[in-house]
Formats: sequence, structure tokens, C-alpha cells
Amino acid sequence: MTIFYKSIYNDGTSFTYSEDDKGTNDYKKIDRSKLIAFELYNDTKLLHVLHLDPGQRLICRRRVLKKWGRKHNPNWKEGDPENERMEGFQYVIILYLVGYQEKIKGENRQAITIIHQDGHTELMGKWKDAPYNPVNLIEEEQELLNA
Amino acid sequence: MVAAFNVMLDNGGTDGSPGSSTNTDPLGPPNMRFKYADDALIDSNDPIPIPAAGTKYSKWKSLFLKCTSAPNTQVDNVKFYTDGGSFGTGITVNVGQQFPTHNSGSTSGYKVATPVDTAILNNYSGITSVADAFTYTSGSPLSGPSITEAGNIINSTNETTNYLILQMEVISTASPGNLTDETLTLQYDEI
Repeated sequence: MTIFYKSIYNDGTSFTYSEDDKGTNDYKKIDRSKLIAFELYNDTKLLHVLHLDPGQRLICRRRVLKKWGRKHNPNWKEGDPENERMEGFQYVIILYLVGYQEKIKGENRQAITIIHQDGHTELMGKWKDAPYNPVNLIEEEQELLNA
Repeated sequence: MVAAFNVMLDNGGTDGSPGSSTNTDPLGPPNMRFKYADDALIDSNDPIPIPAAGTKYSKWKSLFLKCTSAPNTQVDNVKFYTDGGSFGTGITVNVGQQFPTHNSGSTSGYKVATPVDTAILNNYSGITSVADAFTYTSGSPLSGPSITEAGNIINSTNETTNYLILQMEVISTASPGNLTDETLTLQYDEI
């Protein structure tokens, strides 16, 4: 699966790039002064559309969680070797965070949608505990270019 | 392909110059084992003895993330946290709250784990404070390991985070075969 990002501009043009493109800095190339929508595609399937009003600053991240540890071996039973009671595990979780930040009456407000690997989504009005903790905003996200 | 990272473990060698750098991903699961020897092997050798008194320390683990496939733009915002459990009475896993230097051009922060029963605090260069790793949870993750590549971001293959240092301590009240599930998480953001 490859995620494609499409920036829709107010002049009818668009800018598309892939998460697989390497070192091309495409996220920083988005013209935020005329950005009115941001779309995510799983290959050719549209996953999500974010509509942006003036003053709303796009935020998008691919968040990766590498987890490892140990857990009960579900197949272990009394009489089996004690050192087989637990088993190690490792797995990776991918989340896509898409939303915006804006300033309302001097306060920063966010609306972030979390897209999970199975396709279900969550919408947050503010940052929460990990893995929904804040991103480090880059320069382009901090400026009100489209205000 | 999107950005990809290996969790690497350095061991052996001399201060500032590790003898081995091992990708832990294909070692397991489990991918890492606290033990009395300074190696990356997942085996049952060199267990940490339970002392009659005092504290026994595993050899410390010098971990870092290494980029094996570059991102589109950058990777940052690395966090470490656990499920908040523990390995049981008498067993503590400490994590250094500082991150000795490791990047694509330097391993200067590395400290070889040769001394026996030596705590990382004040013995691993640059580690001036430690905390129980299981106090770092999703509600209060450890911000790090930090990044000392250009711009404090990772945007090229072979760039890395600094070291994350872990060590297990065992005291007399520990008992073998504790039964708790435990999870460690390394999290990062990619653009």
C-alpha cells in the first residue's frame, strides 16, 4: 500500500506526491497560500478529504510505533517448560494524522483526524496522550500563509 | 517505500568506538535480552544473578534508531514509552534521561559496558539522571532519543538518533519466572 497526498488549490490546480518519494521534500513544496483541500489516497482509493478555510494551517504526519516486549504464551500449559510461559513479540503500528491548526481569539485550536491501518478514523479537537501526542510543527505549519 | 528504521544495539569495542552494531529486528522476538554479558545474543547464557544483598546490574544497552530508507521530507519527534507495568518485585529497568551522541558521523557518546555491576548513572558518559523506564507511559513519554543530525531531523539513509540507554537492576527480593506482559514503544513522526 502506498499513500498519495493531493493538495487542491483555489485556482483549480493541484499538486500530488507519494509517501514513497524520497528526499523530495514535497510536503514543504505545498503552496499553502492557495490550499483549499488536502486528500489522501491509498493507491487510487480516496481515504480522506480535509477542507481548509483561510487561517487553517495543514498538519500531516505518518506516525510509526515500533513495539516490542513479551506476553503470555497462549499455548503454554502446566507442565510445559517454565521458560516457554512467556514469548517475545514485535510489531509496527502506522497512523496517519491529518488536520489543521488555527488561531481563534488568540488561542491555537486543532482538529486532527487519525487514520488507522484498518481504515477506521478518529477525530480529535486537541492533542492527547501518545500515540496522539503533539507533532513538532515545522516552519511552514506555523505561518499563516493563507490567512 | 516509505522511511524505514532498524533498532540498533551497539556493544563491545572501546569508549567512543563500539565493536559491534547489531540490527535487533531479526534477532527475535524477543529482540533484546538484559543479561550479565555485553552482547546482542538472544540466549539463556549469562543471566543476572539475584544477590543476597545489594544490587546486580545487567550490562547496559546502547540503542538507537537507524534510517535504512529515507523519508520524503524528514523524521523527528522520537518518543520512548512503556505499558507502565514492571518486571516484578526486585527488578527495575532504568533508562537514561540524557542521550549520548550517536549520528551518521560520530559514535562519540558510546561507553563500552565492561565494568561488572556498574550503574549507568554517572558511569555512562553524559548520563546524569535516570528513571524507571516503566514510569514513561503513553501519558508521559520520554522525549527522545534526541537527534543530532543536521537540523535535528533525519532525512537521509544511515542517519540515526542518539543513544537510548537501558539497564536492568536486580535486588534480593527478585524471583525468577515473573509473569507480567510488558511492552516497550519507540515512536516517531514522518513527513
